This record gives sequence, C-alpha cells and structure tokens, in this order.
Amino acid sequence: MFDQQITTIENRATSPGASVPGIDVEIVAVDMAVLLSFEELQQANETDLLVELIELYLEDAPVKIAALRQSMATADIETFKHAAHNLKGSSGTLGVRQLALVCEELECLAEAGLTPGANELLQGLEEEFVRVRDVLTAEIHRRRVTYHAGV
Amino acid sequence: MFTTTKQTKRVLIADDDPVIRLLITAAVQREGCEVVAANDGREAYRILQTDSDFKAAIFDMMMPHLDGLDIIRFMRTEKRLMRIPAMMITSEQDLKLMADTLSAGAVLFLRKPFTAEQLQVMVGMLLNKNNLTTKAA
Repeated sequence: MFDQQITTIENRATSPGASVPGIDVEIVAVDMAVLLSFEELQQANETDLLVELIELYLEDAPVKIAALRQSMATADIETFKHAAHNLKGSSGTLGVRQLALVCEELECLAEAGLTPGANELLQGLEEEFVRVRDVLTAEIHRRRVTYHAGV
Repeated sequence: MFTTTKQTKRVLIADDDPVIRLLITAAVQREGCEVVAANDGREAYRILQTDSDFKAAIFDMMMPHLDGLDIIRFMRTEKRLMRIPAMMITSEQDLKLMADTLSAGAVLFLRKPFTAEQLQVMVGMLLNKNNLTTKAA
C-alpha cells in the first residue's frame, strides 16, 4: 500500500504541467537511491538512521527557509547567503536535488545583492519543499510499516 | 582539563547543520569512536581550549562565529592540539580556499554533497591512517 503511495507521490512530483517559479518539475524531488545509500551507516540495534535523518531534515529545512524569507525581508544578505548555503549542503547530500539547485541559485543571487528575481525563486523553493516533504514523509511511513511487519 | 592519551577514541565534530552532523556522527561511530559534537565554530573553539583528548577533528568550513579554517589555524598554534588530524567539509568550490585549508593544516578535504561511500572512506582514512597523524603532528 505504501509502495503505491510513494509511486503516486513521485509521479505527481515529476509530472509536467505544474508551474512553480524556478523549479524544473522534470527533476525528481528526492533521489531515493542517494538517500537510501546512507543505510550503509546504519548500526545494528540502533534506531533507524534514515528515519532520524529525514525527520531532522524535515524539522531543519523549514527553519532555514524561514530564515531565508526573514533575511530577504530585512535585506540581511549574509544571513540569507548562509541559510541558502547550509540548506544546499544538506539537501544535496540527501538527494533532494532540485531544492539544492534552487538554493545554489539563491546563494549566487545573494552574492549579487539579492535581485528581485530572488523573491520568485524563494517562492519556488517553498513550493518545492512541499513536494519534498510529501515524498520524505511517505518514506518514513514505508519504513515504519516495513519495520513493524518484520517484528 | 582533559589530558591527551594515545588510545583516545574521541572525535570532535563541529557543524552547524544538524543533518550533516548526524551523518558524520554515524560514520565516526561505525569506526568505533566516540563523538564530541559542537553546533558551531565558537563551541568547538571553547571545547578545544580545555580539551585536547581527541583522535581527530572534523569541521565544516562555513559556520557562524568561527569557521573551520579559523579553528584549524588555532589548533596549529597550540602544541597540545597540533597532533590532532583535522578534516574539513565544505560545499565551496573555490580551489584557493581548498589550498588555504590544506596549508593551514587540514589533512583531508570532503566536498558536499558527499555519498555514504565517500564519507566512510574519508572518515576511515582520517581515523585509521597513521601517516595522517604523523603529517599533522
């Protein structure tokens, strides 16, 4: 059931037609192969590292996005650049590719002094995060169901 | 104050990104080491002022208050910290910055985004290769 749910969400995330500023909807929201590769770091008898990573990311990314929004409003370029840089690093590492690419663009715009296009791009990033959150939340559900089924 | 021991298995990690910090922590713990984590450069600096009992240190390049390069430079000025091999993690692509980091005394450099395999290989090298420790000393 949850496999089907993930497929549906991923299909929606990559389906053409949605118009999100700065976002290429052809690029998958989360490269699951990259994310799941971190299972290699899982230690026996410890809590599910992937669930921990995803939950941490879903908790931290909105804080950084809020920092981007706030620092844009106050023209605090250093804070904006740092938040974009930071979110780019964690997103790219976990396979959240599109969001990482947008962060990179925002970081470049910050170097140029936050041009008007940054606002549209940030809006796109906020909408992309919704796509990402759907996929990652489904993965948490899938892992929990798999874990309970295996117990 | 902690004293330095040859057998220490403690590793100092400083990164203001909790996701990256968790990944590095997991990789270090898989090597059988204990993690001492700092949320930013200033916290790492405070720890290093009174504690030198570390097998290795891993820093993010860009952190609030004090960046990774500043900390490595500080470590290289303190005799009790000189022997600790340090690895820098960054998503910067500036070659000069990379060169500056290595000149300052970092022994390894890991670029973000990294894969699980890259992380494990680099952490393994940092913790297990004696020549890195020798080079850093």
